[in-house]
Amino acid sequence: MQGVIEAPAQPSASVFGSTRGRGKRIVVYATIAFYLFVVLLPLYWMFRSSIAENDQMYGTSIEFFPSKFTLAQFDAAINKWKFGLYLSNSIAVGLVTTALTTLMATLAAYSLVRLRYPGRAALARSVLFVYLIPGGLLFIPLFMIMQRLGLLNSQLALVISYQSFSIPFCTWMLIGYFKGIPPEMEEAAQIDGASRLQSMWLVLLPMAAPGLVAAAVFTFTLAWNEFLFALVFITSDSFRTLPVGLAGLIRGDIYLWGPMMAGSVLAAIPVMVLYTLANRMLVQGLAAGAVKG
Amino acid sequence: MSVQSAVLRRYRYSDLTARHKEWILGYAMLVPALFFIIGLVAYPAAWAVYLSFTDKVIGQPERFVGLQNYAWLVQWPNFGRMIWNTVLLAVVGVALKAFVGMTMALALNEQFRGRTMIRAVLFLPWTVPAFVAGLIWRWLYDDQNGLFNWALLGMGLIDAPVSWLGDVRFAMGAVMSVVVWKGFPFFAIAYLAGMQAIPSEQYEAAEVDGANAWQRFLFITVPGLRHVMLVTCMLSLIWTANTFDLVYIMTRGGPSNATEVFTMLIYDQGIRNGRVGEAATAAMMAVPIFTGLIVVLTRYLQDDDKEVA
Repeated sequence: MQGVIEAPAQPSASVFGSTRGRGKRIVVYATIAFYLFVVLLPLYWMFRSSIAENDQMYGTSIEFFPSKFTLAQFDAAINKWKFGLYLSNSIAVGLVTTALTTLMATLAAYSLVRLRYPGRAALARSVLFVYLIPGGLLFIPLFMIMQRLGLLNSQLALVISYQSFSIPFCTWMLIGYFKGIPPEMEEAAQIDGASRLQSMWLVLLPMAAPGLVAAAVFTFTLAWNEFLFALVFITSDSFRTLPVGLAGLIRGDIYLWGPMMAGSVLAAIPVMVLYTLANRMLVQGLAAGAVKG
Repeated sequence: MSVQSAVLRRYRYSDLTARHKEWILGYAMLVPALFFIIGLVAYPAAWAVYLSFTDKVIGQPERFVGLQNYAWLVQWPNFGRMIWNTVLLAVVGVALKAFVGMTMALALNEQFRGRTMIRAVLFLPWTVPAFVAGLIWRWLYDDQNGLFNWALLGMGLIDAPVSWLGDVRFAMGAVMSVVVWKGFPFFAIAYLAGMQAIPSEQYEAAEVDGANAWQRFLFITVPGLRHVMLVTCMLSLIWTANTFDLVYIMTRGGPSNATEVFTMLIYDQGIRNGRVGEAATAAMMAVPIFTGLIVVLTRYLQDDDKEVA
């Protein structure tokens, strides 16, 4: 599965044919160049806006390559526009959500993969089903529930409501990993006198550690990126998470694009790095599954 | 007494067969997750059904009004607008993502220097948080100081700045461009993985038989990717039809409802206007479509699981 995306060692025939013609190369390079431009231009502009001075960002004096660099936008984002507050809120919500989810999803996934009982197949299927239910269908009644529980405008509302998508997502990922680990070693441990839970804790989980890390990383980024629940359940600025906090800087009359882009850089970089590292595992798992059919 | 009952309980538990103990452990390990899923998905879903038959307004007790909300919504001009916008965004957006993803995968499937690096760079939009993508592109499209207007003015292609997000003719296209930019790498990754699994002998044989590149694509690549294409498109249809953050950040559904999509309408009606009953009704009317997609998709992905296992 790891090697699915890797290039074959030998140059092989493809849809463009096996010959290395000039026409084919031009088409391939032109396509790649075009997409590189489309992908990088917005990212460059975010970065460039975060280190440019205000007089190079607005009006007729826009400079595509800035002649001066400044950290003033980062300074303004952090010290004037509460970036640090939103950041610590996001980290707190993300970490608690991830810890809670990973614990429950690990138990659920182990149960669904390794144990045999009536209704197991239907329950396993419903995990994916529940994950695919869009939040747009649920946020109105969830809002009412949070209101009734008195949890509106608290980070607990986010941690709890995020479980609605993070548990099914994380469980589904872990089901995939656990299935890929042969049960023989756990069986051997059980013959030697280990209980079910001991064999899970001492044998399966250490072997599944990379998968657990990837599942936790993705769960964290789901919480980190979540916008709708965070917008609806939190009304006071002091509890806002990054997505809603940054979006709140869009104001018609004043230009805050510098601090907003500086905040965007800081909010996006950790997630982009984590994702790029862990992405292979997720998409390859999905794709490898999908390819088989 | 307590000692006795403990002994009694242990006796009873050990009396169970190993099979039944496995049942109990299995269910017990599911309980925490199930508790949250039922409380946060099943229960709210049931409540939404109930709310859709009431005139619930935030802060006031509700009355049962039967199908009144449904009748009102169907006749409400914004509702037709919302359906059209959502379908347009989802269907055209997914089609574009699939097309761009396919061309990118075809190019990346070739051998060239720096391929691993370029592949990682081209996948970056997928890793950018949606709210950040929305902010970046809103800034790019900005009517006063946006990069696009600056560049087009500089090249002499337009005479005056265009209000991309404030003009009913352009707003939907602008939102869709971000949806595609953010989403196409997912398709590219999946298609690329699928292409690597197609044996190159098939292409060689077809080439010997005189099939041209288009024919090889149509009769080897497409059938080989059929399953991947179906799964990615359905997944993406669900996600795209549920777009909220991008629309909220870029246009808030405007101008004149030009980008009012399903989730925006529910948010506006339920949270901003406080008319929860009508908002729940709008959500209910989308349920059949989403359910259909999810059921089919779950079946497909679950079948994959069995083969992998």
